[in-house]
Amino acid sequence: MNREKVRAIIEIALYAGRIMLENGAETSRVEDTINRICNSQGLEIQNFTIPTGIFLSCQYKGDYYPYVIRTKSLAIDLEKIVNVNDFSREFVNTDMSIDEAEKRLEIIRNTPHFHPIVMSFFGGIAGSFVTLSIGGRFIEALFAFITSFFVVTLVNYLSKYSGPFIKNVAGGMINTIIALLLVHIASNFDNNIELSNIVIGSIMPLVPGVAMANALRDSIAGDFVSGVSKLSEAILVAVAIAIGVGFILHTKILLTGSI
Amino acid sequence: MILSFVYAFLSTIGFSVLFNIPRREMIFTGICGGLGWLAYDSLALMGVSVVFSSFLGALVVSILAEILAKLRKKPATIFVVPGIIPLVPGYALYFSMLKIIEENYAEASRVGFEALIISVMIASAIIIATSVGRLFKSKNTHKKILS
Repeated sequence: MNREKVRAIIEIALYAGRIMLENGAETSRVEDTINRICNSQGLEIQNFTIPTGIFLSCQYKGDYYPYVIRTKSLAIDLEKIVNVNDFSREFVNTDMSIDEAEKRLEIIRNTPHFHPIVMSFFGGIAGSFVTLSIGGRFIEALFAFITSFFVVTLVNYLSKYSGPFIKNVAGGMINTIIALLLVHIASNFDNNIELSNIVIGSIMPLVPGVAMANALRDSIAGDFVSGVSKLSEAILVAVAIAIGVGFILHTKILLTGSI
Repeated sequence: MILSFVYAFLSTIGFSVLFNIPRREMIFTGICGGLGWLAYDSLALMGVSVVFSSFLGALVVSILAEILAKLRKKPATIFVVPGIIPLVPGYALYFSMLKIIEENYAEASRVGFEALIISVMIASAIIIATSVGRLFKSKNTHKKILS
C-alpha cells in the first residue's frame, strides 16, 4: 500500500464517522465504525471521538498520518446512521473500491430528510397523542396538535441559525403563547379546557430524548467524557424549555393576575 | 386499555418521523412505544407508584428494542429513542415551573425531584437492557473468532 491508498482509506473512514456524528450517533458507535473500516484494510489506528470532534492517528511503515476533525451536530437523523452502519458492514465484508465507497457515502449524506411540513405535521401528531395519553380531552388534543405544529416548525427553522439553548427557549415560549391564545379563544364556548394538558403534550417534541439515550449508551461503553457532555446537553435543553414556558406564564400572571 | 396503546403507538410514530427513522422500521418502533406505555399505564392504574411503573415501562421498551435490533439487524437506538419519549416526565417540567412562579418552592422541589427520580429510573432501565444486549453481542463475536 502506498501513502495515497492509506490516506484514502482513512479519509473514507473519517467521512463515514463524520456523517454519523453529525446526525446524532453515540460516539462509541462512531469509533467502532472507524476502527472496523480501517482494520479491515490492515491499518492499525488510534482513534478518539467526542461529540464535537474526531481525533485519529495512524502509523504505517514508518509514516505518521494524524487527523483532527471538528464536527458540528446538524440534526437528528437516525436513518443516516442506520445507512452508514449498513455501509460499513458491507465495506468490511466485500472488496468495495475506494471510489465506490466514496460515492455511496455521498449518496447517504445527501439523502433528504422528511419535508419540513411533513415533520411539523407528525410533530403535531406526536404532541396531540401525548395529550390524549395523559388523559386530555379531544379538544385539548386538537389544540396540542396546532401548538406542536407551530413549535416544531419554529424549532426546525431556528436550528439553522442558533444553538440548542436559544432554540428551545423560543420553542417553550411560542408553545405557551399559542396554547394561551387558543385557550382564550375557546373560553367563549368551553371553560373547562386545561392549559396544562396542551402545554405538556406539545413540549414533548422538544424533549432531549436522543441526547439522554446517547449519554447513557456512551457511559455504558466506558466513554465517560462523551457521556457527561451529552448529559449536560440534555439538562441544558430541559432547563431551556422550562425557562421558555415559565417566562410566558409569569408574564401572563403579571399582566392579568392569573393563568 | 387498547385506546392507550393506540394513542402511544401513534405518538411514537410521530416522534419517529421527527427523528427520521427508516420508514420500514416505524411500525416496529410504534409497537415498542405502545407496549411500553401500556405497561406503564396499566401498572399506574393498578396503584403501583409512578416511579416504578415508569421503570418497568422503560424496561419493556428497551428489552423489546434490543430484541428488535437483533431481529432487524439495526442499531437499538432507533427503537429505544422514540419509544421512551412518551414516558419522559414532561409534565413535571411544566408543573415545577408553575410552582416556582407561584413561589411554592416546596411543591416545586417535590415535583422536580419526582421528575429527576423518574429520569434516573428510565435511564437505569435502558442501562440494564443495553448491558444485557451487549453481553449477547460480545458472546456471538467471541464464537465467530473461535470457530
